[in-house]
Amino acid sequence: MRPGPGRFLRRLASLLVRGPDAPFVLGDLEETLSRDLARGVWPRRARWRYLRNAVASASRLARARARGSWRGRRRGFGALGVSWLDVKLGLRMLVKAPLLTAVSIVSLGVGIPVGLAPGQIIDALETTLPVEGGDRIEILRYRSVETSGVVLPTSYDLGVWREALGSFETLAAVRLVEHNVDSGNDAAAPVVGAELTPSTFGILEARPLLGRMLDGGDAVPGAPPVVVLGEDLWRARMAGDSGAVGRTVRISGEPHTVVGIMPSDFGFPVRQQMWLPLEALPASEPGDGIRMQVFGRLAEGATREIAEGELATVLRRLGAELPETHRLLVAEVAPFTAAGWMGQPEGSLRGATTGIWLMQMPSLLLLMVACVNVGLLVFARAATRSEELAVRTALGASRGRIVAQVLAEALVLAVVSAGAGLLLLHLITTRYIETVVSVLGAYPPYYMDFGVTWQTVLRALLLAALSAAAAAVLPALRVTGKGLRLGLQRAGAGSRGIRFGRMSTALVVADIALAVAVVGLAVGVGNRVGGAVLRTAEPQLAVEEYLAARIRLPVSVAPFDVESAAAREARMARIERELVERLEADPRVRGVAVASSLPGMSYSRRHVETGTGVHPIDQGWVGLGFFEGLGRPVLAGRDFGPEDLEGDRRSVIVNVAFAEQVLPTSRMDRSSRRQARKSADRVSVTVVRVSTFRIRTMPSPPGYGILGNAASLITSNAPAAIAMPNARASAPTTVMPG
Amino acid sequence: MESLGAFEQLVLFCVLRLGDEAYGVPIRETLEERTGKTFSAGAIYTALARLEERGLVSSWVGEPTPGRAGRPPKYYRVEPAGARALLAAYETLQSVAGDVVPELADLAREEG
Repeated sequence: MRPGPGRFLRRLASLLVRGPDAPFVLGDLEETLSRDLARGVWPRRARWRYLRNAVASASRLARARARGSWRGRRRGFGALGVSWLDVKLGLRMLVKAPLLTAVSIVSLGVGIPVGLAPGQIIDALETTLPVEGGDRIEILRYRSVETSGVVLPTSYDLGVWREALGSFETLAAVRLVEHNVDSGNDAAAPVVGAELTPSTFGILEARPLLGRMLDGGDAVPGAPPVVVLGEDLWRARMAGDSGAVGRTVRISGEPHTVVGIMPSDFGFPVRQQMWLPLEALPASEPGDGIRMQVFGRLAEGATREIAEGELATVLRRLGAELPETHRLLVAEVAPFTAAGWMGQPEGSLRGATTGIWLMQMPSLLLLMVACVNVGLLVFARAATRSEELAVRTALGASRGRIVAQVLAEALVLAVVSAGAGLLLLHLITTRYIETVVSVLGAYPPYYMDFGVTWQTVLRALLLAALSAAAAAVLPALRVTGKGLRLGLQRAGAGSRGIRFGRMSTALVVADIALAVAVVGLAVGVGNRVGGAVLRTAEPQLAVEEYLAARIRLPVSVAPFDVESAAAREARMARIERELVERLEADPRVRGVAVASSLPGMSYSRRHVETGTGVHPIDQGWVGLGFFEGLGRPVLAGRDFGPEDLEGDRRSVIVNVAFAEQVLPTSRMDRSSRRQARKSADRVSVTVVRVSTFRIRTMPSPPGYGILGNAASLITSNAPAAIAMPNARASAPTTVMPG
Repeated sequence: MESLGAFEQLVLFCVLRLGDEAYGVPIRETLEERTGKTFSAGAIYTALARLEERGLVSSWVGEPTPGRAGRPPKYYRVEPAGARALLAAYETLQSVAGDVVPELADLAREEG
């Protein structure tokens, strides 16, 4: 019988005994067997002792690994057999192979933000309210069968729902209001706050920073007026006065006592900084009462579907009793965060998520290309080190040890690259928010966090690590397996390992460069597309010369059921006149103009019918001297005069595009037309030369515009609009300083 | 001061005793000879790994030998910290045992 344990036992032992010290244990087993045989132990008994020792050792080592006690309770990297020394070596390799490091960082640094930005944005859009069980806070509302639009419930509906619905623990209501707030420290300024039922704070499990929250007594009709302020407003208007609770502030002229300050991370429902009690109005007649958003927390065991079914049952009853107001409605229960706040179209953010994914799918694929290329580079690096790895194996390093080292190097490279990518992602999302804010004119709700989340970090690291690890482990296994002898032979012959020829190197570099370029191109295209959707060009107006103001009557001063529309308009007109007169008297002001909307704002969409068909247009109302005041005198025809404010006001002013497309037979003279065509911003040149001050760079749905929605301006390449002489009271005012 | 388990103390004493020849096989053989028990190689290496991680012993890899199927042995040396810990453990045992050892021996004989 040959000395030694035999091929089978040796193979079995090497399979059983695992861990960093496995080579030494296996060596000990061999040596013990040799010593036993040398001592004259019967070979079969010696092999039996070998096997028993191997099994016991394997068991001991496995238990130690399972307890995490092997090598000082390794976790994380340690679980893979990777030591900190390997990590240090990996960091050293970054410096040693600067080209590889640079290409990897650029590849993943570009690929990660491009590929992961959609997920990042979707995570933010699909978030829930930041409270325990925030995903169980639902909004209840109706939807019109005819228009599919949302119909908000009234206080009457809320009363009925509170009686009939058992799927909710509590129901609460909220609506946005805008008031002038005068804290006594400075001039009054408008603040968009919320009126809400005190039960809101309970549902949201909110805690005040100072004082108390609103309670049921505050909402009783006739109760002393109170207000809760947000921390930011408190710091801005009351200088963070710790004695603010109990002080009086004037809200639209009415004194209110500050009863509490909410912390800055509370901005319910959107990003509010002021909360007033929504008076518990009596359940009036159907159709009466204010409309508001109603929401509640689902009761234990209830689901959205159950709640919606229950609401539908209640609605059927209401539809039978009150067919005029409720017959053509359907019930809807939806997550609170899906509500269309900020004035954006209902559900537009959620609807956008699919679009975002679809738009970014190519970029996601390119991220994978970037990952594969980084993997390729790591593979190449490992392949060129085959001799080094073979020598290490020969010196006793186990296969696992070698693989762990190469893995550690790849992981270090991947993590550094992913870090660069995440940094860029952070910059991109920050820029995205700035763009959204500039376009919508409002910040996203307080519960949406567009920052880099831990989920995104995890995704980035996982992608980078997977690509690098896959490419690192394969060559390491190959080198330490059948390639070991070859590697040793090469090392013995003084060879420096696999070498890539010039052509191969050029091809690899070209491949990587191409991938990076394509990713970069995708970023560029994405930016163009995204920018077209969201970004507007610089205004073509000397904006620094203008000041704009908007006049609005506070809601609490003019409740719907108290003041008629006519009285409201008359009061508005009085305020507007007074403001215009005061401004005109100010020597620092060069001129004052009034319009229903200013350039860049949304306009009312109308359809006009002419001999050429029906055309959608944007329509606005302007005051006398508006165009001249903006430095855009009428190109053809005449400007509005006092006579246009009388009678049925049938005169209009249109832009060049309108004249060309809708009124091709208009009497616009040739020189005016030529002048319009020569203009650099042709779309903005109008008959009245009213500029579109904000132009988007992407075609939008068919429509024409002039002053307003810039999206419609460039769409048709021939936008058109009508400006009617203003005789309305509720109009924004443009103030131009001299 | 590092505390040591009974097995760790035994292993440290063996490493100390073997000096420059302290690697897996002699350590195990010494332990088995002096305790009369059998130990697996895995048990030895697990204990040594713990001691090394705590800085009580250090190790280095020797040259591969034919009797080990080309695999190198791993040598161990007791570090000063290990020596202090072992000495403290031994002194503690001595101070606690002290003058009751004869009584212990008598009792053991009675029991036996």
